[in-house]
Amino acid sequence: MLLLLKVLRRMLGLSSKDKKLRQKPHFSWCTKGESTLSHSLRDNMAFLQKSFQGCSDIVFREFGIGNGRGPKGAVIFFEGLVDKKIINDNVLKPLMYLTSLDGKMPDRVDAALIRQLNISVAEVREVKYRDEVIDAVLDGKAAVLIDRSTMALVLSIPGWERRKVEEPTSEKVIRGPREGFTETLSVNVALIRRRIKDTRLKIKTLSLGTRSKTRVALFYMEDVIKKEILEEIEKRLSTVDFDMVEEVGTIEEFIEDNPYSPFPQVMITERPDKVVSNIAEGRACIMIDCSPFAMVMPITLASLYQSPEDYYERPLYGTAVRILRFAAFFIATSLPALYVAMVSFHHELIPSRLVLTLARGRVEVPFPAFLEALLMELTIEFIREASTRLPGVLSQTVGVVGGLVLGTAAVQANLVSPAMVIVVSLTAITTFTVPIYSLSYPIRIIRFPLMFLAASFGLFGLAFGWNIILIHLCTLESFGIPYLSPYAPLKIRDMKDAILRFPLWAMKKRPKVPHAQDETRLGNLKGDHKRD
Amino acid sequence: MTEGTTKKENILSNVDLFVMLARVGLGAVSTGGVYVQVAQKAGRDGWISFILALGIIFFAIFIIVNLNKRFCGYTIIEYGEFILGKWGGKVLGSLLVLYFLLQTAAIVRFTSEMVITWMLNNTPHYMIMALIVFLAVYIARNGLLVVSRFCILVSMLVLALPILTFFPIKDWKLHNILPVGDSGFTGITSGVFWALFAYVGYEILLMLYPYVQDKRKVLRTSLLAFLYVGVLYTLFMAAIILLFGPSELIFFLYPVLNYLKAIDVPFVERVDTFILFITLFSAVANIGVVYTLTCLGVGQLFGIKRRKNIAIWLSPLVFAVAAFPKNSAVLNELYKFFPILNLTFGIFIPFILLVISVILKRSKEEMP
Repeated sequence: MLLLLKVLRRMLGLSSKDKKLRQKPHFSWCTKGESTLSHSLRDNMAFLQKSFQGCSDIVFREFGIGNGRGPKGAVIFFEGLVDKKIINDNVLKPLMYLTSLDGKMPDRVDAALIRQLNISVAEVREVKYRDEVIDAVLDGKAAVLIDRSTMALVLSIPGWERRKVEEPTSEKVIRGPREGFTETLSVNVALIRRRIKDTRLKIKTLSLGTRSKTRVALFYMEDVIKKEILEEIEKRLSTVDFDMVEEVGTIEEFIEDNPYSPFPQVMITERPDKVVSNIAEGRACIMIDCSPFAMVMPITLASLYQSPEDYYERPLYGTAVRILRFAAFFIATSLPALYVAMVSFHHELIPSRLVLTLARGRVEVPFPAFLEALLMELTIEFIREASTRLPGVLSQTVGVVGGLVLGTAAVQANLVSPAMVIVVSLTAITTFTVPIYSLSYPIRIIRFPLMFLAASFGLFGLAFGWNIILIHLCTLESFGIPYLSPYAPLKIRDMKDAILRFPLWAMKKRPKVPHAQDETRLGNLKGDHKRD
Repeated sequence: MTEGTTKKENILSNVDLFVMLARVGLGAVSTGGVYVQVAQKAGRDGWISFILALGIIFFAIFIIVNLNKRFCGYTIIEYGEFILGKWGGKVLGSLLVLYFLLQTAAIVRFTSEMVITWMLNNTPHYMIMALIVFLAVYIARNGLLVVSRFCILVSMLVLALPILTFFPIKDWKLHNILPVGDSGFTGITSGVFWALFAYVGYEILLMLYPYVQDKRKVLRTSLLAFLYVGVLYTLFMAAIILLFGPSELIFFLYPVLNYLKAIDVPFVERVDTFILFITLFSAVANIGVVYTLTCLGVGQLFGIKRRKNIAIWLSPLVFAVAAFPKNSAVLNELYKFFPILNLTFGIFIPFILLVISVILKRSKEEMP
């Protein structure tokens, strides 16, 4: 009864209870613990050994400084994460043979002195707390502890295996840079930094995931991005309180606007040039360690349909290709539904000679058009899923077997009509024209409800389905930016770079969405040689 | 989006206003029987009736904008109480909301009639209406901003319609429309009454005005929007007359669709069904605008803060009203009262309110 009342109140809109956003504090890169390091190396070691108990990959290397004349010291690191050669040559050797110029030991050996004189590693940090030492070691750094010193040194000597910068596999271009992101954040940061040599490109790092403590970097152009958008992104990032952050997708789920929408509300890409051009337009980008994918936000549907190549080739081709992609979007989502609607409800729409051909093909097919379409579409989805999971060589074979053999055999067995095979292969091909892979999922999924609606209500069903899709797209926003901009709401200036791709010299200002602070993009010269 | 009873966010740009007005003005009726009614009265001069009716609409818009200007930031439901007293205002507000609801239901019914006649002859009526009402609820739940975006999308879809009008140009017969002024002054003016019905929708300005950002341009935008609508109606009417002639025209139920049937495209046998397909989008946009305003009005009338679910609660009523006429014949009988209602709420009431507020010197500054 009480529940019923509650539901009624909610539905009447009387309840004033608002979902309060859980506010979590920012996770700093290192958690500051309470306990500081003690004077005694033995105490510190005991504590660390207890903390790392059961971690068989940890290395504790104790040594005497200056041939045993100085205090004792220890290096702690995880095997495989740290470059052992550098530890040997640049840390252990100088410390163990430590002497001053006159051959005597310095009076007092502590962390600060060693940092200045003896360790030839570029990135060294002094830390005070035990937790900081643990965090640093977990992050793949080496820690140096010295007896009678309350400071420890944290050395950054990455030695783990990393993949080389290769051509991105999910977004290939014919013309354009062939570099793709890798799994190492520092490499990715360098890839972006190399493309924007400007101090106003800011990179904020933080760590997310209570267990994974994944390093996350937020990129933006300080003077271009709209302040409110940046604040919103930071606010949402601070609410991610999950234990494991393995991929940007994990963060995406926590910070996107509408988690139930089939449409992606951030752009996932592995191309540095794409990220860079988006950052320059006033968007922000999030990258995490251990993932080659960058997440760009806020985005619009139109921006998901842009490929970097559109800008590298001549404007005319850029425009033509974009129109082609938009047409492909509609074919991929609606062609099977349209076929079902036409064949089962509206024969009169099809020109009479074509309708005869279609009918001849369907004479011996025992299924209604909807079932026929559903069967074929499902088969295609199975083949696609199988070829993604299979090893490289096999996947091609499955593609050929599935596509050609199955299609032909199905027609010969009179299970489907030849026209249906054409429709299905056309939809399958057009699905692949999307430049962003995550956008191909909604297209593949939308197809099925549309087919069902078309089978139930013909063209009216199709219109009903598309009405819902369009209304849904109108409600979508990505970090406060309307998803369908520049079409709805209408932004005339941004139309220069939506379906059409104007020449770069004609786009003097940045697009209105996402509300860049600094709108000027083109300098004073504006390619004036054209007027001479 | 927060919409307090008095404080409103100025969320609509003038482009949004233009598109919404044009969308509602063109409406689902644009394919329907208006042309037949006008042609019955004004014969081959029907297109002149549309032009004359546009003048009246301009006058109405002028009144509405001037009335709203006095109470900037409030909708008619709120300032009605101030002009007519508490109960007078409530009655006026209720009537207006009921009128909007009726209009929503009417468009739902017209659209489903059209679908049944042209697309799905065997599907039960209530099924189509239920689906359309579902769309109306979905769109109205999300507020004005989403409706305006949807209207823009739909307007882009139907942009090709005026161009299609010129496709059967080789079959136009000039003697169908000449001589101009054949029906005489009385014929043309009696056509105006029905032509006015085509423009139904201008009265949404009463509710939309407070939500527009740049209030100075509202008058210009609204006039331009209806000029666009008027030009299109005149063009459609003239084209239909040119093709069919006034005597043949009056036998059609949906003259525009019949007109488009004449178009021959190699890969589509029947362009009209495809146009109807696109018209369904504009009908949903039209229903969306009016239904959203109905829900906003109900919210303001009863002071309900959270308005999202009003759309759900009102939907059975919309469905019931839409399903009320038993068949098309009853519908056509009832439909004759609609222009009178429209004139009452679109011109008469705003005019009276404007006069009263001028005489009693009521304006926003004196509002409590």
